[in-house]
Amino acid sequence: MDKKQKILIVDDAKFNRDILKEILGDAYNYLEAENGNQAIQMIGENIGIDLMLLDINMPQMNGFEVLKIMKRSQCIAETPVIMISSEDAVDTMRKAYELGITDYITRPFDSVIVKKRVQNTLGLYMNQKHLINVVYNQVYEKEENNNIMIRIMSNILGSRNSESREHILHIKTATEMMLRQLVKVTDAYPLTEADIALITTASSLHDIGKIRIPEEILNKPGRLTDEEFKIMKTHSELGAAIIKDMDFPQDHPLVHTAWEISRWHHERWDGKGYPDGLKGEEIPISAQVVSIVDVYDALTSERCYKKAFNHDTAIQMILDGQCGQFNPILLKCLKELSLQFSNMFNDKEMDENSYYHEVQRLSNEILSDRSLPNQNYSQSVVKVMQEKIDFFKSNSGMNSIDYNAISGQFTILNGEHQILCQRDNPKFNFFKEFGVNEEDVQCIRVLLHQTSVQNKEISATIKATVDNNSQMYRMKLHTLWSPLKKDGYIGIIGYFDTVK
Amino acid sequence: MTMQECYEAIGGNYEAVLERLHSEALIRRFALKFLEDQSYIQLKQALENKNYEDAFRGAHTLKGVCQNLSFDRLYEVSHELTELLRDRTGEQPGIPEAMEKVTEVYEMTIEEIKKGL
Repeated sequence: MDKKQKILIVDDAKFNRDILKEILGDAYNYLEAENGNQAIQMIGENIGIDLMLLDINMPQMNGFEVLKIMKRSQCIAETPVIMISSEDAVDTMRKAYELGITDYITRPFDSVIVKKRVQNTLGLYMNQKHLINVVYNQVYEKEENNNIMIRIMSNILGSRNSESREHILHIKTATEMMLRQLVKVTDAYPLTEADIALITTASSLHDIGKIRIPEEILNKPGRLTDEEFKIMKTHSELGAAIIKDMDFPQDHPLVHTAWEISRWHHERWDGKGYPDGLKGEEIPISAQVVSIVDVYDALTSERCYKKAFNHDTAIQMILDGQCGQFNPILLKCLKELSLQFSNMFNDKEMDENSYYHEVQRLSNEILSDRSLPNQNYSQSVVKVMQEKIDFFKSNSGMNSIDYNAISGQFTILNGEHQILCQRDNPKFNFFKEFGVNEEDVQCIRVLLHQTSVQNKEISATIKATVDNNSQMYRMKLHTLWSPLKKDGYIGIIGYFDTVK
Repeated sequence: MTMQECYEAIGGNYEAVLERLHSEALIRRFALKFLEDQSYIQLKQALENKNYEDAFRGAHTLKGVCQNLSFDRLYEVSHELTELLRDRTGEQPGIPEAMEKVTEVYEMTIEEIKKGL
């Protein structure tokens, strides 16, 4: 493998590109672009540009426009840019720095200084990338191990009690959603991202005490006798005892939180729960949240002793207090999350794939929460590629669309044949290329504007002309987001089919 | 003719360029490359076509190249023209005269370099 670092030289004059290559020597690999457009396209396609040397005055797209696009798409954070120009006005240089360049070299330049500045910039970025990789991999590994452990445990519980595996995963997801909603609606519970992650992880242990409940009771079809129910109820104390008896330092936050949740996830707001009859805020918020999502999941799942209630009924039963009293603020959160819960739990199968994505999402979240100076482009690109493959796999056989917002490249795969389209100026309108009327364009723009990392897909029916064939098409679009940053929109994939 | 003599003939600053590029061989290679540089031709064509956007860029590039090579005389005249073209309107007085000067110095420079190499 070629280990030379790649430098992209962007200058419309061949002479200038040659002089730079000559000065920097053959220690690097060079890519060349004659204008901003080409440069942006190369960044979009050729991941792994280590440094960009950028001129200002160029045809089609000048250096400042390149910087603006790079800033918007956040790739300026991964690709250091050194601007080289004979413009020496202070405000030109200041503007360039504000757009995120690392260094500014004015002509005429000294060959040794240029070389040193390039070496320094590359060195700094290489260190930074290396450190980010180390952190990323460690966090990733830890999270993955963590999740594997939780799965093993869920399966152990599940081998005694068939409901448990899915139940634990549901509780974990719903707990996290509730905690996020909670901090959104009130500041009464000052939970940090770390607290949320901690409670979410600990929630997996809430029913660990069931491991000590006899299987005949655990899996008994039909109602438990009073005696049996009494035994069943001991699982919360048993769970807490299991955690306490372990040779862990009990003041470790995860251990402590898991203990709280195990012991108190059957307590109720009015003091009528068990085992300790705690009231109101005496119950830690972690246990309060787990108890409400535990009830919701129990109601909406089929159990050996009961059928599943539908989502609306379950929510209503909880709100009516049929399963005991809960903190009013949590009831409010539950109501607000109702739609999301119903969507999520309707799809009862949390399959391998979504679990894998969940692992990745978690580690990414931790990474971004720590506000690292930079994102790891290669890791995220792999992920986006995977997302694309998954999407197309599920919709094979139809006509597909692939739009890279960074490079401005737009591809339609129409059966076997490919239509390529390139945005070569910022005002370029793809819809015009396909004769879409203004009303439809507006409609799609509004829909796209509403997409987000949580809500990536839209559908629309529009009239368009593809290969001189004007007709109604139904299309589904899936927006792609850079996984490590907020609002990091990077492109669209989609498919379309004629409306019969 | 040495590079130094060549620089004297075209009104360049040999000490300055040697200080920055550190090698006579490198300077010679770049001076040769200058013969292939298209920016003067671009500038000339753009002005004929009254395309002032391209004319500005051509002049600007030519100026930058001369700056790097310390072709001081050609730098001065191309710098003057660049500033006249900066607003991209072609309405500044004196553009044809400034272009004439650039052409004169450019042709002399090219000729001297060819002689010298």
